[in-house]
Amino acid sequence: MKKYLIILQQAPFANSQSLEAVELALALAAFAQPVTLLFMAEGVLQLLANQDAELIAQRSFTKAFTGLELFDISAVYADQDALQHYKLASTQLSINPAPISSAQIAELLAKHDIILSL
Amino acid sequence: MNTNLHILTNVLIPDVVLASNTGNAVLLLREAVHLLLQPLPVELTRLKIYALEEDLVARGLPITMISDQVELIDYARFVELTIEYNTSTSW
Repeated sequence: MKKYLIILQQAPFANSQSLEAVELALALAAFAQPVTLLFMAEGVLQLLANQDAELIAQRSFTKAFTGLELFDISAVYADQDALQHYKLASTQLSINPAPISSAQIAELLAKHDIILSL
Repeated sequence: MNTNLHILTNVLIPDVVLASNTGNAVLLLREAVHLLLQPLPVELTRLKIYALEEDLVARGLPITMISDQVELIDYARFVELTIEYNTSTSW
């Protein structure tokens, strides 16, 4: 079975890409495909807890992250440099992704058959 | 001297904003509110900084952590600001 890596790089609600990345991950998982998520660059901002997108007339799709385990998506990583850049502590996040270095990200890419960067 | 309201909508701050003189101001909208997670560049400390509160709350930014230098505003105040400053520039 092919292994999928979805890279989320956009700030939440900036455009439709971050929502599409989440929908794609859930759809793949629903068909029992192995999916890994990697939050990089501004994508780590999607992890901030207590978002309320209704205020800006958008869907709070980031709430779906807390249900990822139900879809058997347990491999979730976040670029530690990006977390540090935005001074995000684990207590501020809605879920607990594994922090990962650039070198480890390179290894992660090598371990997957299909890589989608959104 | 004319005053300008620099309106930022993403996390990239143009050099011209960093070089802006006292008396001008910066308004953070949309993705630009994420700039408040970090200490602001020193060049901005001489400018008045506004941020749209709705955009912070929507993105889960902790309002209590925001520095006193930043004035959180609503849309009504946004409209007032465009009148208070001689010009507005969206970057």
